[in-house]
Amino acid sequence: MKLLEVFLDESGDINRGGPMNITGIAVLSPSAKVAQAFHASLYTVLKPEGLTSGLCDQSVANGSTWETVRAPQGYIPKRPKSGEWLQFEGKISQVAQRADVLAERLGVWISAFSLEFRASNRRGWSTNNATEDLLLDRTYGECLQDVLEVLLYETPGIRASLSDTEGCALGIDLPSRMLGASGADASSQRATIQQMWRNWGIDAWTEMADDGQIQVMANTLGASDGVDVLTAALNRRKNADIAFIVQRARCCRLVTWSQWLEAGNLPEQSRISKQSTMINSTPRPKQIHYLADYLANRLFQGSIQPNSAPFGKWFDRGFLLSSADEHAGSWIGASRAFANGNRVEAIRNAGVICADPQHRETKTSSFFRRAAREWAKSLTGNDFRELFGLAPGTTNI
Amino acid sequence: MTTTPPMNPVSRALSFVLKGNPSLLVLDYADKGTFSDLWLKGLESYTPEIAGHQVPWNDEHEVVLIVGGPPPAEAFKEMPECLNGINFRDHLTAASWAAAWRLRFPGAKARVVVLASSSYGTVGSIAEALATLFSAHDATGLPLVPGISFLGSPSLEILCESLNADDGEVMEPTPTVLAMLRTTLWYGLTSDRGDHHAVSNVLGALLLSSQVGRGEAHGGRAWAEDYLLALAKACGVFANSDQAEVKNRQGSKCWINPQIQSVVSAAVLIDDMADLWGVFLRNALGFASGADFTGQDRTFRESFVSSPDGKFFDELQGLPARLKAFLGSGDPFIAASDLISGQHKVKKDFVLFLDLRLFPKRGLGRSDQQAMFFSELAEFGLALLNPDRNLPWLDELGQELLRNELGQYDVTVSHQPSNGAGLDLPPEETLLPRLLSLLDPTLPIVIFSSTHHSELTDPFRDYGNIITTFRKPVVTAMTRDWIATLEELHADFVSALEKSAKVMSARSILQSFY
Repeated sequence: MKLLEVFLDESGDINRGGPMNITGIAVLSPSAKVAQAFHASLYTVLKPEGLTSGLCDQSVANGSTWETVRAPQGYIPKRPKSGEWLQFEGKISQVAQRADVLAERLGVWISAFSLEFRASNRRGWSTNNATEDLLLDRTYGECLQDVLEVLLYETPGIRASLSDTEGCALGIDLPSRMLGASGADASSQRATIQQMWRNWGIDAWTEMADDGQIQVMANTLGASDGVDVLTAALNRRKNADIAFIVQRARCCRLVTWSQWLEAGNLPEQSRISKQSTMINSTPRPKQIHYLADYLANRLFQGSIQPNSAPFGKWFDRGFLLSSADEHAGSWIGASRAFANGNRVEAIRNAGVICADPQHRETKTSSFFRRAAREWAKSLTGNDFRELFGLAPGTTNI
Repeated sequence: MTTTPPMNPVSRALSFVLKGNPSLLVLDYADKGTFSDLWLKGLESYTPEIAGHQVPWNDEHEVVLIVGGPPPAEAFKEMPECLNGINFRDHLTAASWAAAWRLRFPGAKARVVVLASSSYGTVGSIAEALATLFSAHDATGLPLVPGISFLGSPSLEILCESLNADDGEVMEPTPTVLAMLRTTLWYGLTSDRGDHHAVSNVLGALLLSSQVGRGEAHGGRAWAEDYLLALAKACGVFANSDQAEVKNRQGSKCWINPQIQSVVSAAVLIDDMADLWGVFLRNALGFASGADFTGQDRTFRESFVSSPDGKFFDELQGLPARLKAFLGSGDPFIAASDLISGQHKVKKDFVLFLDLRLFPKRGLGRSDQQAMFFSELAEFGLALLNPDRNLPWLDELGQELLRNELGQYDVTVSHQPSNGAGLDLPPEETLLPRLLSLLDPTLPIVIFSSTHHSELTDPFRDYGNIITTFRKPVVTAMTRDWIATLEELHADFVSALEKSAKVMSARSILQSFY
């Protein structure tokens, strides 16, 4: 049975109210065994070249403690230091190329995808709307589902595999999310921790941030929350025949080597606390998940060309969408409406977008128009009549 | 006495014999110029200029002697190709003109004497019926049709008596007499619908064309249809005398508003009388002018496509092969060039106007052509009934019925009707529209036919893009006022185009995905 693994990350700042993106890499393997071989081999290929990025299921053995983890001599930092961005980009490109070559050799199919969107309005930690302040950004949560929906149902190569009669398993690795708030005094921090527990059952704690300030921390997208996200995404297509089985749906914390080593510089108690938290964050990601993280960040920074090798090939298989500037949200809504049986509404809404030449020719529209061309092939007589402005069931005599 | 340059020996002799009477005008009906003046000027005013002479119809002393019965053959040399073979002559004799004149100017004081030649009797029953009326007298002994004398082969004495007859003031015909004249003329025009070349089959197109514009410009020269329209006008069949005026053909009177025109964008006409009906359609749609059609990258005139003159059957014969090629292309939207070969400025946005009766009913040669066409069309239809293709207008039973129906035409298929299906097949005229509708469900197809029979329209019931609102007018006995008919035609045409525009809008949306 084939295995489709989806690795997602996001970039941008929820609190900025500006553009964010959710970006990912999908790895389609002929079998779970080949998938395991791919991930193991990728780590093996990357490590001697100093191209690994952080803690992963290959680099940290089961049962490891903070004392036993050793960072490699060479690694890719989470973000480039000033003046080193060219080298940093080069390394990311190398990782992608190694993955691509390995994929070709093992018969693994890689695609990439990204959705740009505008985060919710600017907000501070202590605004009156505690739900929006403390929990997941609503826009982000919706967009996460958008991405999965588009990936699973609207991306031709992936949809074909998932509905293949020989069967397909699906694995989703989302990024875990943690919210931190600093700058408040001890009393208000205690109040916040109590409020989070009382209102949402979220166990928050205080922790020293990189700048030495104490901040309130809370997991808002924990390890098992991936199931909820995937379920919500799948529920959007009520009429879809689910032919695949879900192998996993989880949220992984990406701990880069640079974060690990920076924690090592903290005073001992803080270091132990922080590194223990890092090492106990399970499930552990796969190495390629870090590539998704880099890709998201570099797209956000505008420092990567999506058409450069091998990303161009990968994105051609996936998508590069924007609801910030290119109506991806409307297209996704139209696609969902069509899939759920509201075909005429879908066509009309999509038609509104395409009526604007500026929006018709965007990458987002190009992607969805490809699928929309197939819509007419499944329209019924009543659909056509409704499109023509006739009541369904009427005759033309 | 005055006369036109005499060509006919009889009129020349009469001119010589009768000279000296200044109020007598001898006209040679066989002369094309005189014939044209009589029909196009003589019925338009009380003081027309005919053959170079001012003729006062209200002068009680004026006598016009028309020599000759049948119209000159030269008068019918210039006309659209599709009108070739149409029998205009029977309707445009001197007797018909005299009747038309009486109808147009019932109060005219002048007298008209028609001197039919010996060959007149071969022209037909309309002239004979009129001759009978002109020769008849009422109970008081007065002529039934005042002011008109009809002479077959009179002696010179009788002729002179007729010309000099002083019956006193010419009385105005009674309404009954006028109705008889009108009915005789109109019945002659409309009674023979069975013959493909009957005037009745083209009269509707000519009348409608005169309403929407001036048709194709023909430089001041008269066409056969112009005379026929003058006759129709004399029968009272016109809505607007300005529009019915066909002498100066310029401009057009579009029947649809600019918004609908913009959405409809273009039209393709498939009709065996396309060059005739095209005049009406082109003008009614506003696709007559050479001006740029904003946003379309072509002129209004280039927005109308029909088969080239005289090439209709060649086009039709090649249609199944073109449709098969289009089907194989996988393209969802048919183009004008798939229907009518050639390079057209019109691409995929157009309304198709499709006549149902594409073949004449009679004619052995045509029957073979017809059989071959439907055989090839059926072959295409069977290819269209591909199980992987979306056929939105047909359920499974409908597809099975169509498959059986197509099997009847296709000589290459061994047809075995199943479950009794196929016993009650739709008329073959309906096959092409239905297949086109299935081939391209967002192509607006306006049935452009004169049929009123439900067996020809019922098969389209489930086909959402086939529009049956408009019907070509059938000009039969004048049971209805032409203006009312015209208003209804106009409303139906606009309705058909509004429906087409809705289908076009949907088509545009789906096209925008490509």
